[in-house]
Amino acid sequence: MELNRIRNFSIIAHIDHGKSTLADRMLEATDAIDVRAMQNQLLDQMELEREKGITIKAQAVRMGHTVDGQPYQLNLIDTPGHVDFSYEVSRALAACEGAILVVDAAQGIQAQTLANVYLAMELDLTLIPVVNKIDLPVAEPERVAQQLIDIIGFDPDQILFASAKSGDGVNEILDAIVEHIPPPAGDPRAPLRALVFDAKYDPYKGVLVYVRVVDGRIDGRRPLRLMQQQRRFEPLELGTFRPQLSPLGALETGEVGYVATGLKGVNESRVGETVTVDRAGAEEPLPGYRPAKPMVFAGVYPTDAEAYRRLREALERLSLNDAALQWQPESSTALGFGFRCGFLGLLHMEIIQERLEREFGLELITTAPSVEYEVTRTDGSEVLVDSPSELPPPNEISEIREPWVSLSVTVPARYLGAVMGLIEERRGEYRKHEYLDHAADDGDSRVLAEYAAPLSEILVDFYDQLKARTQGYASLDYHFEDHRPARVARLDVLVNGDPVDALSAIIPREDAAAKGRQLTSALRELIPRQLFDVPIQAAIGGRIVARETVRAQRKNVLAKCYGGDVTRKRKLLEQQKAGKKRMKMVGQVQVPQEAFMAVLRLRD
Amino acid sequence: MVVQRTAAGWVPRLLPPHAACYADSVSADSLSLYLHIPFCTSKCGYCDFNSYEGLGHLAPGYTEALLHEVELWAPAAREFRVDTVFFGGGTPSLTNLDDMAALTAAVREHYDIAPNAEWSLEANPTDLEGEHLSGLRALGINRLSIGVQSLHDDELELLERAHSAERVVEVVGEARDAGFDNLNLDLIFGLIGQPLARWQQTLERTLELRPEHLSCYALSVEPGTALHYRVAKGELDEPDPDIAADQYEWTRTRLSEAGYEHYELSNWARPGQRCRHNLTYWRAYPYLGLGAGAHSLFAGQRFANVDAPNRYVEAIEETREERRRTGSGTLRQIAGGETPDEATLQADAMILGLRLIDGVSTAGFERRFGVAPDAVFGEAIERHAGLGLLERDGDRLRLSGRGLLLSNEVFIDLLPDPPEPDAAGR
Ligand SMILES: Nc1nc2c(ncn2[C@@H]2O[C@H](COP(=O)(O)OP(=O)(O)O)[C@@H](O)[C@H]2O)c(=O)[nH]1
Ligand code: SF4
Repeated sequence: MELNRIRNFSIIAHIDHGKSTLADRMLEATDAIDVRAMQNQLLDQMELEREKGITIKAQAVRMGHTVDGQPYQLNLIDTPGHVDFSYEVSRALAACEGAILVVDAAQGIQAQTLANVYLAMELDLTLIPVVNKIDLPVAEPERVAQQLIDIIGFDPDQILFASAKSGDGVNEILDAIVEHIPPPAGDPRAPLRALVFDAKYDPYKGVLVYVRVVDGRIDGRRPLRLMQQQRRFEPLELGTFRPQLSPLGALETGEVGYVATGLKGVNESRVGETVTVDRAGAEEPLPGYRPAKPMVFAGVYPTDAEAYRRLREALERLSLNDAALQWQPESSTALGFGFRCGFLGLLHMEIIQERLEREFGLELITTAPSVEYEVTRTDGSEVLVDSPSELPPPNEISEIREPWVSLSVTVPARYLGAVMGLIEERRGEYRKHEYLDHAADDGDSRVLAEYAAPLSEILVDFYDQLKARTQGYASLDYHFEDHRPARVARLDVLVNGDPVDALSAIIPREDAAAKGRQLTSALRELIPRQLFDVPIQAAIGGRIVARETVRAQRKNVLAKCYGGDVTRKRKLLEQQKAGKKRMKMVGQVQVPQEAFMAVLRLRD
Repeated sequence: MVVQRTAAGWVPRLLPPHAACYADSVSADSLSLYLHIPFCTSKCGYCDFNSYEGLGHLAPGYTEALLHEVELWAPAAREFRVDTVFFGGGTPSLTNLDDMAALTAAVREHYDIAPNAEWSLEANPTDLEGEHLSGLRALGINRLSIGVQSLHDDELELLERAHSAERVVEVVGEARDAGFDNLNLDLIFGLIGQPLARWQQTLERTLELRPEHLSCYALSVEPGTALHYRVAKGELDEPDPDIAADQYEWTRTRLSEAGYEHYELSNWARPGQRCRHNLTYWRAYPYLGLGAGAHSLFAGQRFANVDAPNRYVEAIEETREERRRTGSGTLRQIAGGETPDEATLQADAMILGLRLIDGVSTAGFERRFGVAPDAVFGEAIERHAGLGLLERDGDRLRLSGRGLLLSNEVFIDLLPDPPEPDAAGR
């Protein structure tokens, strides 16, 4: 298709503001779908995504739309909807010339929306603001429109009003896409450069890279090359999305589609890469590529040592579709053999954990998540430490630096104090705030507040706390900023005299003793009484800072005789036996899985 | 009795009695009979037995059904001599004397009863009075087991028992007057919030009543009971296991001073007055359980009747109906059962046998199974001997004093690896 008949766009929206519903309406209003038997909300395909209400994997779809008798090709590129995936979002946006900004008429602008708006602006995207859900009785379209005008600087007449639910205003949005979003500006005659904005593994075709052709064309006849990874491949198939894969002979300049590479793992084709032709290809890759950088690390162990191989296979399978997931074998004296996994963020970690358990039927113990510390040793050498057990002894450390993030929170003004309290508890600092509703100055008007905080402090239970203290009103966005010096130490835990590596944690020095006490008392509750006294100690660099004892159990007996019901007695014993089997033996002590998450409870 | 198919699909295979090899000392052809009376005037808060409040109107039909079941099993039990008959519940003392007379007569008519048989009946203090007691005695009941539980009224209230402490004292006197010289009193210790001293008072006062036999059970809060609900709601604390342990240890010492022999985890008796019926369970000798929810070990199989009394009555009627038409057929009252494999039988023998204070005879075990306990359970035995929970005394293997209260810890390690589910079993 001619360049000026193509429009590539995304939808930017906060969770639940109606992105998927709007996408559905657009597909219905255009000729995108061959089979009408469409699932609700086509773009959210994975079951887990639907449950969590978020879009994890970007998808794309091509639609035909006619304006003034002229046919246009509209390519909708979906973006993942969570802060952990901001790099992926930026690459999906980079594949577009414009974006529809959907804001819920009742809820107004949220922190994450703004973060993505700024991303889009940096990439020079044309934004089409849409106030959605105007059918809701509690909708305040005027107020939300005013926010868009005041904060982002739209003209009043740019703003569209719609109900994705009823379909009102959807045609106007489609028309506005054609009218306002510029066509792609690539050079059809230049050597091929296509931006990979997503990748998926297909068991028959290998890795499918989802691309936006920037310059040149892909014709499927010549070998191609991924520029950053220097990997050459023969395209097995190419095509576009309707929204299912639909093969084509070629992808032209400006178009969006997929290429089957035959490559075996998406690790070999990171989002943001540039595809060119292998011979006489482009010299410069497209800008913006960044290698995957996990921010959160945790040990993942099978409860049952025999499931180790299955866990490895599952991680391999998940990695096929998730280039950001990193893992390497690790072993723990307490937990046996497992894997140290790196995740983009906490949500990413949760999703992986759930998929491992749900899709692969694994029972797992995940150790408390850790960030990656930069450690300068006294001899001047540098090490990166993402696991407490790798932290050098205190006397060999000259400095430790920990990652800090910038946090933006949108919240009604009356909760500002509560948010500030939470930030301070987490060693964070205030930067600034700004009213989103310029006109209003009551407690209901929304504020965008910015803070900085150590990433380690927001790993655990920060988001839940934020929600709890703002009655669910706050929304959050965060970005990695830099590493800053940290006064931290490793807290070790000894159970029955033996150090349990899987229970160690790196924590701020100031509250090490307090945390040690909390941890030992949490463990005393979690570890069931054994046949002997079990001391539980917390230590920092060999110095015991807290101690508790799980007293020996004295009574575990079936007193009654149940009138000869031996089967029942045996069943009760079998239940107890199964309960014990689920525990890990640490030395002579049976430790339940939850104990390994006890570090997470330190704030209770 | 030929092929019998139950509703649950489990079929008891009734082998000739000698095919099953029981026992290390007693003859294989002795049998215990259990008759279950599922009715109670009110349901106690801690009770998870198959017992029902407010179903008294079913009693006449139920007795009828029970009489039929007594008859149904008679041919299968022909070659056995019945050593013990036990009316359990529920509250058998609620059954009127006419019904009791019919039941005892039917048992005598259809079974070969040993002349010195033990005839026990469970009773609650409230529903016994003089005439009833002498009536029972006249019917041949020679052992009464009275549910006392506590001699503090506030504790009886906590347990939702229907009687007072005073009534217990009276009823024991009345039982003596009626000629009962073999009384068991059931007690519960480890009550929620019960300090050692209060238990001591209950036990001391109980000793003044000079029972021949005592059962002292630690309270356990069983799922589905009113007590469990109150604990789950936070209205009551969990019982304190450490206090219960102190109470148990004190009980052992005190009862031994008082001349009682501790012969099973929760049971004490004057010399020669151990409960022969319950010994059948622990020694895994055969017993037939009749009535709703009753359990049997018979011809190498374990099986149980349906729990619900009305369902039981119907099932017995169906069984009889079918027999009238075809001359044979299913025992529809049986809800399910299992044919334990060798490994399970061995584990059962150990787990039940170790409940006895004398423990298990290794020679007896070997005679029965052709293999010594150490060959099967060596690792677990060593481990728990090392932990001080098991002791060896010549031929016998038994729980130590500390092991008694931690017996589950030992038993768990004696369980066989989960067997393939018995295709026909449940
Ligand atoms: N009343 C109303 N509800 C809407 C509208 N658009 C979406 N919704 C509802 O809002 C919820 C979230 O929509 P969804 O499209 O899944 O949001 P997403 O998370 O941004 O993809 C769903 O329950 C939709 O049915 C609208 O225009 N009006
Ligand atoms: S009297 Fe006995 S069987 Fe009946 S409810 Fe009370 S404890 Fe249970």
